[in-house]
Amino acid sequence: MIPLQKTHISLAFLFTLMMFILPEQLEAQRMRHSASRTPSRNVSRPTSRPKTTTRPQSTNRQTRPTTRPKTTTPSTRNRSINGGSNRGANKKVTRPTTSNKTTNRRTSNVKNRTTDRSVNRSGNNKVGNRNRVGNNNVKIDRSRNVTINRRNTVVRPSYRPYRRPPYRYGGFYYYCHRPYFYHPYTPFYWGPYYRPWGYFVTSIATTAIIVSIVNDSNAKEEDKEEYHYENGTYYMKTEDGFVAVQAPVGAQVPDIPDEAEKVVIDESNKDNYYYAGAFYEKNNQGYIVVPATAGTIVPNLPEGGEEVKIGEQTYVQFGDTYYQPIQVDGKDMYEIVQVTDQEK
Amino acid sequence: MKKLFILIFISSGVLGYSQEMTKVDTVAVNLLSKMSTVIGELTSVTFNLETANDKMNDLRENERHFSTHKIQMVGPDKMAVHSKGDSGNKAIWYNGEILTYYSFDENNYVSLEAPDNIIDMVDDINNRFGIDFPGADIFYPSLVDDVLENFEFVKYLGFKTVDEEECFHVMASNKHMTFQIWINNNAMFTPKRFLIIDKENGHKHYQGTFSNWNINPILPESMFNFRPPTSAKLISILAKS
Repeated sequence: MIPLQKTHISLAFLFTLMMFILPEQLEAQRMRHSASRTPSRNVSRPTSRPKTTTRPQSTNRQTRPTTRPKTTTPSTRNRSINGGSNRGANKKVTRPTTSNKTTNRRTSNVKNRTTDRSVNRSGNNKVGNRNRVGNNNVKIDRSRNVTINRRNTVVRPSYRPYRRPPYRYGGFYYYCHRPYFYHPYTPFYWGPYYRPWGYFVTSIATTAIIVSIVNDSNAKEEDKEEYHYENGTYYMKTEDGFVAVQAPVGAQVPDIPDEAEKVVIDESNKDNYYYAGAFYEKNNQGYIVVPATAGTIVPNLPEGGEEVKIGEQTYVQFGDTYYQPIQVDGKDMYEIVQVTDQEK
Repeated sequence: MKKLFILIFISSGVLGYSQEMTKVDTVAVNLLSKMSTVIGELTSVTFNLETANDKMNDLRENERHFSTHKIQMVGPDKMAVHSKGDSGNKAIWYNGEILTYYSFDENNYVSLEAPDNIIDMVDDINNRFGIDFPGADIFYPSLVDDVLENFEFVKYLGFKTVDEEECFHVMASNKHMTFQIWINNNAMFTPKRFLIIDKENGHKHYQGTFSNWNINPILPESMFNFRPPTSAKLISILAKS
């Protein structure tokens, strides 16, 4: 009677429990699987085979011991591919620990969108090891400290609506006008005057002009950031010299290198140009650096980008700007992605 | 005895209510349980899986993608998957410490530290990075409980033939999803086919058909270690949240 009673207590408890457990638990793959039931490490499970088997005694045969010797087969459960079926109980499985193993392999840089957004949003072009963009195998001179100023990588929304559905990942929507077409990220060299971000010089030419940028409209005059501009390159002063940085949004310069290419940004028919990762708009005083606009197609990307796998697709990331590899008329190019947290 | 009677009465009341509300077929549950038990006793396995998966295309229509996967597992902490098809040519190597996800098409890969057993690894990697492991649903040790917990109806639909193999057909459904599985009528009760229909998102189908089961083979450890081609690029990965 006692085993029967226990069975019913267990059944009643199980069904009562099932009624109260919410299905909104950890969802893995396509069905809902409860991670809490995934066997953890410390409780043994009763073996399905009895340790001793008693055979009926045969009278006509040679006398044998009626009880089989106790077999001690090693449990295969510790080596099970999934820890063993654990239906209806909190069965735990002792697994061989692998914590003593050491790994010398390089692992990928895991980026977190929330964390990424919280860093360096003040808009200062800092020269140092913080927020360094890298960890890829492109030929970046590691002696340079490349820092992405997120203020200068903010993306303006596309001027025309998207007809293609977005690529969805992690609660965000990645909009592009053209389909994904992967080609490896190879930083482009814009000519003899081109200086990649992080490039260090002890002195700059006297022809370099000083550009002042105010990050915050409420900032005081003394809070302005000073850049030195020469042939399409922006430098910031350091203790030992000058280091090339990305173009600061809002910088007004008299001219840009001849290698700058005309790009279509919106329907305003303004003269827009692209050079070394920076977008320029022509005005009466010359050219002003403007933020990247989603949907803009550029043929090349400078150094300082990072290939990032986002779900099934690989984008090139510069701060908050994501470039999707595409192909236009058989030529490899990039389109600036519009990333939103709400479907449009 | 009186206590037992009261207990039986209460239990049968709960059971009867559950039966009426959930409409769970015990034959179906036993079949799932048998299959799950056998899978849980495997120490190593290799098999092939052909999948058909609906994805929304540029026309906002469900486009069916077909893929074939070769899967090897050694318990508790080794796994290799090689997938080919409409969604690309890619592979996963997991050696108990590091998981590498390599794209043959793009010749790049990500390497990630991973938990020290297959199921925790699958859960962790899928939740953090959305990487799918083909057919993984069937290999969860809690499959039967998960089905009972999340589906209102669980029914045995009789004998069916899949690829000239006799199978038990079991279906589970709720208002969000339908899950069907065909279990081989053989000594091992291996899964033959599964079908998951997402009723909420345009009735997307995800179907997988198993073949070439090799039970408890001896597999060398080296096959679960990834050695990148010299030209392959280690890239970063964005976590889902």
